[in-house]
Amino acid sequence: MCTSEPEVRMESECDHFRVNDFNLSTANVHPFPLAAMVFIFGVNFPESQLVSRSLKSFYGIGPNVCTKLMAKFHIHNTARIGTLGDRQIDSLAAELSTMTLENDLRRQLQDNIKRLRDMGTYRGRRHAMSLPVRGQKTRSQNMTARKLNRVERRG
Amino acid sequence: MRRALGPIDAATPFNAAPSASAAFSTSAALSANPPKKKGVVAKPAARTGRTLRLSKNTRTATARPPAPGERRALRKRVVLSNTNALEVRGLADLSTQNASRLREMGFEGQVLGLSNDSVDALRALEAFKATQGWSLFRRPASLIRRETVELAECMDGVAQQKHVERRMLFGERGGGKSVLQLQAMAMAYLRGWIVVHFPEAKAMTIAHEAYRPINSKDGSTAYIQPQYTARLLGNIAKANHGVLTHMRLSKPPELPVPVQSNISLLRFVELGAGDAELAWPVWRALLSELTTPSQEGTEGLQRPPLFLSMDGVDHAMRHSAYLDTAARPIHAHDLTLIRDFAAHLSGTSPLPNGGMVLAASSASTRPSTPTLDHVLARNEAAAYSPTYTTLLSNLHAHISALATAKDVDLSALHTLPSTPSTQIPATLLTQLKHLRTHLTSLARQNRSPADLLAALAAHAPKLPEWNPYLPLDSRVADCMASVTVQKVAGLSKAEARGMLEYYAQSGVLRQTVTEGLVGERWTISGGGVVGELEKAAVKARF
Repeated sequence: MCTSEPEVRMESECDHFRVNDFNLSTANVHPFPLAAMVFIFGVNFPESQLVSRSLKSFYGIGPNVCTKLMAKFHIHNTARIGTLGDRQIDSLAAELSTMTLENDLRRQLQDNIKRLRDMGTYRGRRHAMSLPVRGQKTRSQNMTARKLNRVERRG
Repeated sequence: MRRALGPIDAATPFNAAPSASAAFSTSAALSANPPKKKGVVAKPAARTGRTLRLSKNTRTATARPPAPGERRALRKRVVLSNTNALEVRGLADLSTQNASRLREMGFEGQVLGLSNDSVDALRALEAFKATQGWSLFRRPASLIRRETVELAECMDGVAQQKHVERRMLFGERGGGKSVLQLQAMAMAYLRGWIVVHFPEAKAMTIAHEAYRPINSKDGSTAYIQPQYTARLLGNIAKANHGVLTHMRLSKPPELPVPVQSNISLLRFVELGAGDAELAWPVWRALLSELTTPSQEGTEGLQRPPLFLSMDGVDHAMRHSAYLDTAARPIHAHDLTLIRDFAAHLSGTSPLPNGGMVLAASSASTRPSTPTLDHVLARNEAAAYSPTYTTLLSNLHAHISALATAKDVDLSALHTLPSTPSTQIPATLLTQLKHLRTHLTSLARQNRSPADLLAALAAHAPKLPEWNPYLPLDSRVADCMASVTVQKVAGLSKAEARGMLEYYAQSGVLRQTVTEGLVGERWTISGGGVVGELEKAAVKARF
């Protein structure tokens, strides 16, 4: 009895308004169960997540690469993982597997720095000393360099 | 009390005066129980930010955050009725009987209501917008202005002669373009036409809808929007079900699934609305069905005129936000729905049963569309240039008959309005003003009439020309080349009076509608711009 009362009140309120059906704009907000996951390139993404956000979560995919990837497979800006077709997901995964991403990309970066260090270049030494590499001054501020510049750079 | 009786906290040596151990010994601390967590009240939260801490400044947590889509639904909600508004006595409806006789029945400058079934159809077509003031009144009604009557008469001509009226409405923000389009839709619906409306071109071009490439017949790539097309078909089915239910397919459609050969068009459209994968072929087939010549004798194969409209068409006259495989922007005319509309707007796709293609630009969400702006200005000036030429030839005849330039009568030029209006476009008004200055100065110098005639010849109408150093969007220019453009400007004072009287009768304007009030509000609203008039009269409280 208690549960039915608010419903009755809602209906009588609705009689006063003629509310649009929002059919072109608001349909299918979340047509999929939120728990469902989609597996792309070794990561499980919830179906409700934006494709762009999911792609940008990979190391090596920023806004630019993401835009190009989505354009390549005709994925629109507001597409969510759950709305992608199987073929789109497969081709996206295949494309990702051809790219240098995540640990491979990090390793590439470290190799580059290591090469500089091994050659004994100034840049390599500066990396090893956690100091600015490109001629910045070090008298007062070099926090960024101290944080980032090292031979085993994280990314 | 309790605290004093408990074990002494070794972590706070200043309180531990009677401790047996030395102050620097750590053994007591190590053997002690882990310190109890203090209550939250014991320590005030660290000050953050620079706002004064007052109870009214703290944000109270609401019961639950809005569900997905809830805020959007609230934003998009269209309320068409207000029980607090007074019912206007004797408010006639726009009906089948009077829709074609608006001028004879003297409805110009009066407000007419919309009947329930046309409201349902218009709502299905998403013709009402949340930004319009429908929620202020008891039921939807709109002012029958001069442009409405002209559109109604134009529709009569279309129905009789089966020709196609292709028109684009433009003008400033709040000028009533969308409502004029809505009235046209209502009149088309009442006449038994098929009404197809694209409610917002912006929604189709900002890349918020799924898209997919298809190869069109001419070899180029076009892009379909399956989900959007399905919803559009749903709207069409809902709005036109009375007409579509009596029509059937005339030829077997090219569909990936088998369809009953004599299926009614309503069922056919609903089929497309229910399945996004079928939506595009169904739309193609529907359009080809509606544009086949009507077979009057055969039941189910009669085809009424078609009314096609699109609001916010500026967004369809430029590159869209969609990207092709090489991440280059796709032109909006490569989106198939917009391509179909543009083909009908430009006249390349014929409507054998007659009809009207009515586009309306949007001034509130206006993107930059240099080509469209130019074509609008040019077409508007071209429409006025015959009047201009007549004026010049009249002056020519008058001056040729003169003995001296002093006697020249320039009254036709002295009655020019100070600002561009619906009748006189801005470019030609400037030219006429220059002509007036030139002729007046020549007359004052008492030059020979031949000099005046030479001045006339130098002031032939000049249409706006495109800057050749800028890239022209040739697809837009071609599409708009032969479209009639109509500027929707302010209301006349008589129309403004009709509007204000309706406000007063609805109880939202609590003043007597006098000549003074009408003049004042007409001026405040920038010369009768309807949206501003509504703001000035209803929304603002003086």
